[in-house]
Amino acid sequence: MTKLLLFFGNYKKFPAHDVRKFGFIISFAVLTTFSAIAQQIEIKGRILDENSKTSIIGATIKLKGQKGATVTDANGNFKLNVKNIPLTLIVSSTGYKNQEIDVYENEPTTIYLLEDINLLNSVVVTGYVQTKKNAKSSSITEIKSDQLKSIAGASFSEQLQGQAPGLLVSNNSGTPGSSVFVRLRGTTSINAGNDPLYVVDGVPINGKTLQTISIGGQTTSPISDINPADIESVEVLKDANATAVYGARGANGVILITTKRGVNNSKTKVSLDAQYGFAKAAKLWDLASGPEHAQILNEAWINDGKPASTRPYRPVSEGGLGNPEDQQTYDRQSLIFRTAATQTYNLSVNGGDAKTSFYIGGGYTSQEAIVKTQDFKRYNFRFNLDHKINKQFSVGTSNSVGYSIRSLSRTANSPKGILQASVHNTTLQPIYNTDGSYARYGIFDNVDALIANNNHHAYGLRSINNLYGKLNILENLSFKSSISTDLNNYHEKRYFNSQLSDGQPSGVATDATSIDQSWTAEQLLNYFTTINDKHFLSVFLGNTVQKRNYQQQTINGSSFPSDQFQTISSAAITSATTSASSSGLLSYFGGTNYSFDNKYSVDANVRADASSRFGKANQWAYFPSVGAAWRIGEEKFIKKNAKFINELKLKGSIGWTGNQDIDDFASLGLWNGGANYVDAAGISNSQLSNPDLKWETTRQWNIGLEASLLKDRLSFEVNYYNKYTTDLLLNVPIAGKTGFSSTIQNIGEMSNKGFEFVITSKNIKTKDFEWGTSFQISQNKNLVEKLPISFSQYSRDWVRLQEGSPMYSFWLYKQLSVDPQTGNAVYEDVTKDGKITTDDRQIVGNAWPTFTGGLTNTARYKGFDLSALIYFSVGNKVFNMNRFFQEHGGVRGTNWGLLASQMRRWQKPGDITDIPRASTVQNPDGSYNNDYQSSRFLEDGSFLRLRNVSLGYSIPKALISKLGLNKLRFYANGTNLLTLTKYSGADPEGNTAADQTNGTVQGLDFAIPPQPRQIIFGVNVTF
Amino acid sequence: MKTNYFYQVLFSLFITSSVFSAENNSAKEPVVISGTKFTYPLVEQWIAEYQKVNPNANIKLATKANAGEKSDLSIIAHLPSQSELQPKQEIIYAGRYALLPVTNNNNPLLVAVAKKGLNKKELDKLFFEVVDYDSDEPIQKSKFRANIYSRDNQACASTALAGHYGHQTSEIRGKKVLGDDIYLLSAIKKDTIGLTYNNLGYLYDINTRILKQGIALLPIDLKKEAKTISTGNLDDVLNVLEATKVETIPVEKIGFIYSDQNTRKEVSEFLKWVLSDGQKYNHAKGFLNLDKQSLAEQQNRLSDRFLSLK
Repeated sequence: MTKLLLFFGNYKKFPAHDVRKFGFIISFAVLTTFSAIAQQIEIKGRILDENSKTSIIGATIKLKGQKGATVTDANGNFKLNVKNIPLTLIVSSTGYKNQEIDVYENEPTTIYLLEDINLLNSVVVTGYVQTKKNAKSSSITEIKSDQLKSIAGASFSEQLQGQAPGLLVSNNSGTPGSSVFVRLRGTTSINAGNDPLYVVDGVPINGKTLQTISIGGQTTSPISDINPADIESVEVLKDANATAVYGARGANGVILITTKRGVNNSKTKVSLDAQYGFAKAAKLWDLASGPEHAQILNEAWINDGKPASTRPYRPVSEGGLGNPEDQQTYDRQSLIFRTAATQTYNLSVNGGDAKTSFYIGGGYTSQEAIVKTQDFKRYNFRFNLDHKINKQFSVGTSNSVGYSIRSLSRTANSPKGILQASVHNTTLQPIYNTDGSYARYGIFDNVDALIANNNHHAYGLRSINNLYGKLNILENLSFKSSISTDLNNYHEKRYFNSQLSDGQPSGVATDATSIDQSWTAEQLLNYFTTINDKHFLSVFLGNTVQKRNYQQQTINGSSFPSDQFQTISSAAITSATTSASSSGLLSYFGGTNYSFDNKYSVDANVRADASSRFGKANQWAYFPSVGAAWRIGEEKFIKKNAKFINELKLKGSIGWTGNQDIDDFASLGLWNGGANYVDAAGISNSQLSNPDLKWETTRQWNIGLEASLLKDRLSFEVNYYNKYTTDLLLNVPIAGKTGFSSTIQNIGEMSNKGFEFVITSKNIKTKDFEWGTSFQISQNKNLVEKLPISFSQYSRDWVRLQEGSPMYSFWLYKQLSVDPQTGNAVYEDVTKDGKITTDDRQIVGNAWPTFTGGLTNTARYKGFDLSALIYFSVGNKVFNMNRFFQEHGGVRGTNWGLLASQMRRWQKPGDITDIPRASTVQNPDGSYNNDYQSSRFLEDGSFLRLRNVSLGYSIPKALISKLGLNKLRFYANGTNLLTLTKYSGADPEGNTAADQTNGTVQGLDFAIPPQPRQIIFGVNVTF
Repeated sequence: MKTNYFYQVLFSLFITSSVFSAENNSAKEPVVISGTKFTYPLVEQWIAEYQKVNPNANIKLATKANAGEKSDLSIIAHLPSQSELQPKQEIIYAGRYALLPVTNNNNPLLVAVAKKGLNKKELDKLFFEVVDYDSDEPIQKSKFRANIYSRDNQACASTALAGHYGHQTSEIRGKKVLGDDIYLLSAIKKDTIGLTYNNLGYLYDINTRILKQGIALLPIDLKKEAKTISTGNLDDVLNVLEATKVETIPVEKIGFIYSDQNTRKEVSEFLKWVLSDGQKYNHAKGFLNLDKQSLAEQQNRLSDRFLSLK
């Protein structure tokens, strides 16, 4: 009947004669063929999610008390034939509350279902651990993708700066895709790794660079292989109770990255984000002009006691190079720096029905560095899928493939590199010879030659994959098994052609390939239960097997037929090196968490790890932790007397974690091939064995207080921690007669103590206007507690490791003043012997900040949104090596340029300044005025940086819905817009020795491109 | 080229004639009103009375048969959110309605709470279930056994009810009833522990002015001046609710959503009549009048809006 009515309802749309004819036929057919159901009523409708208003696919609609059911289609629509109304429908779908609907009229209807908030929602999972919400005793900071997305950067690790207390993030350079210095609650090791463990969707990934060709101390970052746009959230696990379950790799903290996934029963959503912007150096170096340089050289000549008549810059008529004022200034700095373009495009599709959810993401980013010859491109693809086979069994996968292309050139400590050729080269001498050829001075190559002939590229192909199956044995008992891979290939190619110093006489090429592969298999049994609504208990047990293979090969070639033949097979002279190693880690772990009455909770975890890297006697190690939390705010006396308190929790934990981040086979005696004698193959002993080599162990305790007040308008958390590391893995120098220079041993102890404080406020929250503020500050005090020997890191003994001082300490001659009468530097005579010798060097300061922190403000007014992040670092010292080399006072002659600050030098008796007179000779006390490890180059590197400002406008939904869009947002992001600092260099952040193994050097600034000021415009469309 | 000009002229003529023809048609087209069904009895009365004094007026209510037609006026009976109104849409309010808690007249609860009546907190617990994602507190449940019936979450009455108690419509417990608020009464008549809310026009027989059979008002804790609500007839209840604010009884406005652009004169004339002569039919159909100040405001707004049409 209904069908007939429907048909006749459309009657007028058809030509009258056709309708009459076909209407009769169809009416007859319907009446005869479907006579059995002619009395049925067809109920139509659509099932939507109450919150998202999106279709629910696969929802079941049953008739209550009658036979008959149907399911919704891909658009959430259903049809159901019934005999009569009124009737009751029961609508159900996985993850939603069942809904009974009384139907009294037959008209198209829309039914909304509400998500089911059951016990699962009050249980939170962090890594392996399940706890009752709010009952966590660990110190964990969660960062949502919204907090990161507006900060420019190729890698998410640099976006973490200022986001989590206790997490020190310092950019090693302004080059996109370069490494970032990351330390979580200090540094626990000297020769073992100090980077936190990164875990992406349950896959522990390699965070160390695979770069093998030196680019002057800078390194590329493997973390930048991950597209930040795919990240949903980041959890920073800091205390031992959170990290002990990662055992052997937990000592430096753990950073859990969760990528975006589809949501069950959600409409397919397509999101496109496009950005285009520009970057430019905010500050460069202020260099002395050619005449100034000449003037200093003349002064040094005279101050050194040489006759003024023979000073180098005297009139040409007198046989000189011309007076200082006659000299030209040749600017090389502006040649290499540019306004760099940056563009990023991300497209993602996600959605899901009742059983399957998916996320597909693709991205492309292209970032030019502000230094010509450097750029970074990355192509990314991600596919995440989860599928429920039935109520018990589900499977899923997370996959990412990233391909990065870098154009590289040497900066930092590389005289043949582009930055030194530009900034350190003299302004006094021309760039081209009179015949038009490239002019080269001293150790520097020609800057224009380096720009025109750079040919150094790196190609990274990385795939991170995870496949899991999960069996829900009982309601709250599950078993999950997964297999993961992290496959990373890094291919570097460099060709110095014959136009470059390093390409003389006829081309030099290097081709290097590094392959790093990790496989992880993991089993995890998880159970939780509640008893009488008072007791909550969770237990987990797990096992992990990991295997890592690493191989590296480098081919070198020189003497090419011409610069047109650049493949190494064309070279007349070739050589190759290869190496390979592997390691394994077998782990068993488990833990339990119990909470009573939502007030008191205790937990305990333990992990047993066996690593192939240690001696047979010490391969196994055990890492336990315990923690407790007391929710004081739930006590009656608080609830009754202090109603403004919504949450008040005291928590504490203690635990032990390990560090096994040393070379593979570190405990074994090793022999190397390749020690050939003429044409006869030979081997040589390359490493002494140490069968007693064992784990570096860090004990950490943490006590913290969390509070939330005034209906959660104001919340804060404060933590104090104390870490103590024993059995430091250290390369200890040994007697030369052994044939070896050092051997790795367990020697030394180190401590890190500090506090963290974060306060968050929802200042204003109305329908149209919201404003929130978050402030965080943290301090870490690092100390080398025990070290039998003192030794230096990096060249010139600037950075010293010694007992009683922190890591990254600077070992220098402490300059007290400049004698106003003589103009000589006055250094502290520690030994009081009247002479300045090496014994007078002392620890003057260190690169650790006293405090770091961030202030974030976010505001929204109707469709406008605004956010700003200020990051600050206070008390960190920076050794300004640019000044060391470029306030040389004449020592480095004509070829090394001078900074303009050199002009503040002492000139005549009575001058008060910190820069001694220009001279190259020894002072009477044995010291030197210039080219000396003086503390005058050690500067306060404190800074406050407007790290990010983001302004966006979302077009009202009412307008864009007509275009079928869900969201249309235009935005502008500014990064590093303002930096306040007393530091005289281009950038107080940065580290010239980023390639130093395990980052044992910090705070050396030498020819590093500064972080650029960046403005990006973008649009985000979702439909 | 000439051919192109010819086609352009032809096309212009076609467009012009279409526009004129559309304008002519619009003059003859009826004013269509759609929206919240429980207001239909009152709106029907307004239309009938308006057409008596304006015999040429062509106004009709949207029904299933003409469901596809575009309406000129849309009736709304809850406070709309910003996203519910299209750009350039406005609301003119023309009356109010009250929602009273009601149950099956055999519900044992009637005896249990007869003496004191339920207060707002108890009614809140009965009708709403709040799940706080961030709280470990157990969900608060009412001590009374009841099956709650409500309209779907998008319906005006549900929105008004939830809004009055400071909740989301999704937090209303129980079963949903589709179609019209009148069916809520059908549902509780079949269920002795069934509870619902409904408007006075449906609760009372508008002819006899007494409560319909098979149902009983849920005893609520009322102040002295409002006691009449539980015992009086429809007019008594209307008078009390117009004079007093009762915290357990949601009172919400009803209004017409219209487009502020190109509003037809027939529409503005009808609205002006509703706000003047039409007001006397509100009580008859179980609806409250706007208070005097609000009514004057609405009349002024209407005059301002349609000054150009005068």
